[in-house]
Amino acid sequence: MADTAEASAAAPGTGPPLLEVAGVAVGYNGPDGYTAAVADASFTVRAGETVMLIGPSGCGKSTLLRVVAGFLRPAAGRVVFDGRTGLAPGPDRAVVFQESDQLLPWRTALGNVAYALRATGTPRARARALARDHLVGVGLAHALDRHPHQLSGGMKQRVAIARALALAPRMLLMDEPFGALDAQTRGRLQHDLAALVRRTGTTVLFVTHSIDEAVLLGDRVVVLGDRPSRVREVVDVAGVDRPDAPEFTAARRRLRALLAEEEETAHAPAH
Amino acid sequence: MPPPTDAPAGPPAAPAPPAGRRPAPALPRSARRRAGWGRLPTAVRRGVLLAALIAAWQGYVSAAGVSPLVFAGPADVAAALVAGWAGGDLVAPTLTTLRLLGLGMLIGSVLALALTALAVGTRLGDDLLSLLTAMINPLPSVAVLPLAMLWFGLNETALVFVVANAVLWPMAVSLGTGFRTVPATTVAVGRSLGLRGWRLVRDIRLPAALPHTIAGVRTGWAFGWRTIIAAELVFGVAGARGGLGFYINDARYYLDIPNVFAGLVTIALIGIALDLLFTAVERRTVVRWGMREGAAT
Repeated sequence: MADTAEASAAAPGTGPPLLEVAGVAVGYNGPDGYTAAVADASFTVRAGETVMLIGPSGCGKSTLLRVVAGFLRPAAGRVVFDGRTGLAPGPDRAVVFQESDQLLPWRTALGNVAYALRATGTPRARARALARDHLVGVGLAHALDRHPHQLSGGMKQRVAIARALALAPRMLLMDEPFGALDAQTRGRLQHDLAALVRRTGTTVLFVTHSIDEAVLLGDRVVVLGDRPSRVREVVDVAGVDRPDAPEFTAARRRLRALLAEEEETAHAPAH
Repeated sequence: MPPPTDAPAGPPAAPAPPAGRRPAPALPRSARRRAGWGRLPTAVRRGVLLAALIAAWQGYVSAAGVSPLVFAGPADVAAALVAGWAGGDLVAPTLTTLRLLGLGMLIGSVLALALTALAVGTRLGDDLLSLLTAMINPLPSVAVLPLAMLWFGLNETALVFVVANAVLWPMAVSLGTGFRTVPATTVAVGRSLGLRGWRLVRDIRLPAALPHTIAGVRTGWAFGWRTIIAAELVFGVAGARGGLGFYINDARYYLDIPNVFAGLVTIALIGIALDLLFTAVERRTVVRWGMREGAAT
C-alpha cells in the first residue's frame, strides 16, 4: 500500500472512516447465472477526503459506487457508511451520473435543484432560494429557467453537481461525471469541482477512467484490477493538483504502470 | 467560480416549435418552390385550397345537375349546419356522442392504467397484456358490437362497452411502452432522493412516461371516435336520444341529404378540434421539454 501520507496532520480525511468497504463482492444474476463484477474490494473513505476509483473498462468500479449508493446489495462483504450497514439509496449520498438523463427534462435547471430539496423535506420558498444560490455557485446564474434540453453537456453536469451539493450530502458519489464531455469543458469542470469541494469540505467518492482526472482531483486513488476485480493498490496523490508539478508526472506514471499491468491480461482494450 | 462559456446545445430562449413542416433552407429545389406558392403562410395555402375545393364542389352540383336526393351542394350543407346548430337538432346528438365517448374513454383509460401497472409490475401481467393486445388489437372494435348488444341489450351500456374496448388496448400498449422506457438513470435519481412507492411513480415515472401517455390518449381517442360513430350507425337509437351516427342514418332515412352532410362535417370538425387540442397539449409539455421532437401536425 502506498498511502504513506495518511498520518499527515491537518490534512483532510484524518478522522475515522466515514465509509468502510470491506471484502465486498458484487455480481449480477443474468441469463447465464451469476456473473461476478467485483471479487474482493476493500478500502475506506474518511470525512473530507476525495477518493478516486480507477480501473480498466468493465472492472466494476461503477458497480462498486452503486453499492455505496444503495442501488445494489453486495453478494459478500460489508459496507459501513457512517456506522450503518444495509444501505438504501438516500440523499445523504447524493449521486452525480454521467448520463444527461439524470436531470428531469420537465423541470428547469432551477426546478431540478429545487425539486430535489423539496423532495427531501425543504419548504418550497427556502428550496427555491437555496437552489438559486447553488446554481449561481456553479456559474449558471444565466440559465436558471432553461430546460435541460436547452443546456450544453457541461452545463447539464453543472446542474447535476449543484443539485447534489444543495442536498448537503455526507458524501458525494460521482460516476464518471465528466466522461461524456470534450476535453476543454472537462478541464474547466474539474477545476470548478475541485474548488467547490475544497470550499464546502465535501467528502467525495469519484469513479473515473482517466488517470489525469484521478491525480488532479483525488487525495487517494483506489486502483482496481480486471473483472472480477480486486483492489490492486491505493495510491496517495494528496496535494498533487497541478498538471505542471513534478509530483503529477510521477503519480501519473505510477498509475499508468499499475493499469498497464492489468491491460496485458485484459480481453478488451481499456482507456 | 468563473461563469462557464461552453455554448448551449439548444437555442438560448424557449424555442417555438415550428408550425408544420419547414423545408431545409439549403436545398435548391425547395428554395425554388419557396419563391411562389411555398412562400405563403401555411394557413393561407390551406385556406386557398379549401376554398378551391368547395368551389369545385359547388360547380359540380350546379353544372352536373345531380339529384338533391343523393347529393347536396356546399350552400345547402352550410345552411343545414347553421340550422342544425342554431335549432339544436345537431347539438343534442353531438352531446350524446361526446358523453358516451367520454364515458367509454374514461373506463378504457382506467382499465388500461390498471393493466399497465400489472404488466410493468409482474412478469405474468406482462405476458398476459402482450397476448391480449396481440389478439384483440387487430380486431376492429365495432366487431364486438353484436356481442355487446347481446350482453347488455339495446342501450347505452353496449355503446360504452364497445368504446371502452376500443380505447383500452391501444392505450395499454402506449402506456406500457412509456413506463418501460423511462431511463434507468432518471429512476435512480429519484431513488437516491429517497423516493419510493407512489411518490416515485408520481414524481418521476409518470412525467417521464408522459410522451407515450399523450400518444396513447391520442390513439385511444381516435379509435374510440371512429368506433362510436360506427356503432351508432349500426345500433340506431339508444333510448330516447341518438348520437351523431344515429342522426346521419336518420337523415338518410328521410332523404334529408344536406343534414347527412352536416352530420359528417360536424364529425370531421370535432375530430380536427380534438387533434388540435392534443397538439397544443404536446407543444406545451413534451415538445417544450425536449422529450419529443417537433409537434405532430
